[in-house]
Amino acid sequence: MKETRIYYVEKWAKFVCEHSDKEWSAMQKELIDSQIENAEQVKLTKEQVAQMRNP
Amino acid sequence: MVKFKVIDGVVNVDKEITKLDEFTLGVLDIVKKYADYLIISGYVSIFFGRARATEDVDIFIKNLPYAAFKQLYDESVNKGYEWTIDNSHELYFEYLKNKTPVCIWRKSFPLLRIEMKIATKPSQLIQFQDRIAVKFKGNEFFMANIESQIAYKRYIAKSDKDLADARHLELVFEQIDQAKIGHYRKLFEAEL
Repeated sequence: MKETRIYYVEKWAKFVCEHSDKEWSAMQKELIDSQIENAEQVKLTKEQVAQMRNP
Repeated sequence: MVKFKVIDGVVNVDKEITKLDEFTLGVLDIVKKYADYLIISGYVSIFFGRARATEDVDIFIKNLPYAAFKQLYDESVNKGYEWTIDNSHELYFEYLKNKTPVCIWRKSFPLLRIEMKIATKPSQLIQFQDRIAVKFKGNEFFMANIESQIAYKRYIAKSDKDLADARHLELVFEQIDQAKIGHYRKLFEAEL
């Protein structure tokens, strides 16, 4: 399982090294921004976040 | 791109800016006026291309007087940020000075935060002498050097996520100094 994870990490790192900054970072941006946008929709309060982190 | 390269302590990056980068740069714009800082941990790997997000951006700051911290706190609150607690005195004396990290986030979005603590250990302080400057879209900000982050993640933190972060950094940077990784490994292990 660990080997599989590292395999994909290495594959992505190779992609980063072999493609233009514009190309890999557009893909990374989509991944990161969509996760943040989804999280923003939830509209948690700081108390709820604190509870999630320290149940 | 080929690989990232640190030249004379500086690495130039020309990538798309993410919402995570925007948030981080917004906070650092305030922090840098009042404290020496450096970014550590997951965001270092993510900034340099790792395909994952995070909810926390970790930074060390150098010790600073309360008056400076209060200015930092006041300016950030005026600009729409919120802290672990709404009391600068308590944040400084009960948290930071007691080696407890404090968090700052955009008032409307507490899930994404900067986690800040004062560097006190030798291995933390030495990273300020060895930090790298990142030049990105007209901004300059500071990160721990790449070898220290590989050493910490591979030999100290060691979770699957940390090992993956370390491997990513090792692959996307040119001229990784293995001796330096070993040096930082010893520093970190001596403090366990």
